[in-house]
Amino acid sequence: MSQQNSSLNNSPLTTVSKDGAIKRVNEERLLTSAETVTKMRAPTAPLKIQTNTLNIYYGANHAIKSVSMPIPEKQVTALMGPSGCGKSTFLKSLNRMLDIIPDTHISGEVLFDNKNVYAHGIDVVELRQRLGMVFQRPNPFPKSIFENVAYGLKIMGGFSRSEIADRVETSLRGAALWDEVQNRLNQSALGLSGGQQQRLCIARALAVAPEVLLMDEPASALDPIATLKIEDLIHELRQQYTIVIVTHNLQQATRVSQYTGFFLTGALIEFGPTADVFEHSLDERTYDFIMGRFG
Amino acid sequence: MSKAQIQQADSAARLAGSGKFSLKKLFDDSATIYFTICALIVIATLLLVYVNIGSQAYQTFTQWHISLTNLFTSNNWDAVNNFGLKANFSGTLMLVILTVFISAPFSVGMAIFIAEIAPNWIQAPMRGAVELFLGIPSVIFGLLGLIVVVPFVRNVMNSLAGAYLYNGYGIIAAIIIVTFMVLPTITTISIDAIRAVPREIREGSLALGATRWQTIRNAVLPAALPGVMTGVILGVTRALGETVAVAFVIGGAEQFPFTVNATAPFIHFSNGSDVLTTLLLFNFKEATNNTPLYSVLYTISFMLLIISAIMIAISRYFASRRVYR
Ligand SMILES: Nc1ncnc2c1ncn2[C@@H]1O[C@H](COP(=O)(O)OP(=O)(O)O)[C@@H](O)[C@H]1O
Ligand SMILES: [Mg+2]
Repeated sequence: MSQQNSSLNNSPLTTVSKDGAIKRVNEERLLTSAETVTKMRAPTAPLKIQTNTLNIYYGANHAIKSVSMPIPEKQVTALMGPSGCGKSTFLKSLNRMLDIIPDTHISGEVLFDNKNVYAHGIDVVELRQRLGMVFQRPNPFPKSIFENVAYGLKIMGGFSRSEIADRVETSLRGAALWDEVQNRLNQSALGLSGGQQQRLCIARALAVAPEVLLMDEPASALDPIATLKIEDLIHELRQQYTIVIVTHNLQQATRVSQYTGFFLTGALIEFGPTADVFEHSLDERTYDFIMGRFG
Repeated sequence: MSKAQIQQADSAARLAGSGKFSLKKLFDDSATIYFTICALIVIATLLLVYVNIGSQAYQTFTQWHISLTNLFTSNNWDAVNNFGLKANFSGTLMLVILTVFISAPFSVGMAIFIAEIAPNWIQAPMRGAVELFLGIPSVIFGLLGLIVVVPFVRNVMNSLAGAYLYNGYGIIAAIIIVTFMVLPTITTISIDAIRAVPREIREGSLALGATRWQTIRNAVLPAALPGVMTGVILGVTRALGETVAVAFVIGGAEQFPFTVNATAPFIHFSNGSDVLTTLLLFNFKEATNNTPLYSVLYTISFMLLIISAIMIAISRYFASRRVYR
């Protein structure tokens, strides 16, 4: 389904190659219709995060265009759209991981529990602990399994050894990894399989007791079985955490999420309950993307 | 060409090559022979060095009946009958340990600054400067030591002592010079090790709420540690083997690098001492074949060979533990 977008994937808006030029015109025609107007079916659930006219620039590259998106609490919200449309950028803006990229400019607000995370006096360290992040490629530290999960706690400080051990176990259980690693907590995390490493990274994020989990294509580097395990885990985690997941895989979006946002060249085209977005798209472009007819 | 065509041409070439004369095969074979000979020459040379030096060294014990304990524990050296190397061992040990203890933290700090903190446009020139430093011949360090470090040590130590007691030569000047020589070695290798840690590791740490410093200390440095240790061991090897630069400032006297006595400041540095390498350098031209001195000098050489082989083994161990390169 998604393969058919490959021509789009390969032509970022900024290229001015011969083929790219045609693509550009196409996309711009699509966007000018209503670039910043989102077809919105607002969620009824209480909101954990709300962005308001969020704009993000990498230098002169306008990567996120006036995005206003609600993120309901203790639900899974999927972000989909062709490659390069700004999903990762949007996700990183929520826990201010964009701060570490030089030459980024941000305007608008990201309200997290009704407080703007870009307001003055916000403690970024605390913010990032409250919004845990899981990356596309598993990135365990070259330390033991135990030390990986304990990392955030040791950074925070103030935990006794037994508290740390407890939390490590709880987090590994929470990430459905405990049974597989309980007998080798002191072995290097790099010896785990890719899927186990990714669940370890989830456990690592859970250890600091976040409220939100931001996942950027967490299963894209994994095999189908490991992917299913991650998806099952996401179902479990939804009981306690608000989850935002970027996914390239449309079936995955329908399997794991309750809400879906569809991005195109930096704009949020459509947002709503996943079933509605997939079955009754309000925007032609969403429909085309879902039908794999995009581009 | 289609795949089938290529295959056809390929098997035709192979047919032509089998049995009959083929230029390609000749090149292949002669290259194999050439590289095999090169490898054999290297191995043979190494063996020759070890066997030659080892057998000469052995005579110290078989022909001259000087015991290993005597070499290690006696302080008495006259180059004729007494060959106590304790002072020189102590000198070498002091030089290596202090040099590396001073330069390692400095080098790692510098590497962190260059690789993690300095803005991009500064990084390349700074790294270039460190590499330039690395390329300075040791005789230049020796000269600078003589012109700058010896007078500096003399002035500082005499003013600390409150009397003219020190001429500036000796272990302290050697340590200062060799520290500067070891610094770029550890720094460049540490920079590479830190750079090799992937961005994802830093992001993973920052996303858990770690500050930049916590990330460097708890995620980046541990990940880079095996690489950094390789650099430190190479630093040790350099400090251990350095001869020329040390010879300029060490003073060449067969006495302990320092003495301890009851009067303040209790430790009195000797005006001139020797480390193993400089002892070799200063004595070899006078040593004649078939004398105990000759054999003892070979024994020292052999020990240096063995120690550096051990160092290489340790650095190989650390290199094998590197996760990122
Ligand atoms: N670190 C960066 N520096 C500059 N531009 C970037 C950076 N990361 C992403 N971009 C640009 O921002 C746009 C959105 O990228 P991204 O958020 O990674 O898209 P997605 O995750 O949907 O594939 C792209 O045009 C990309 O080239
Ligand atoms: Mg992405």
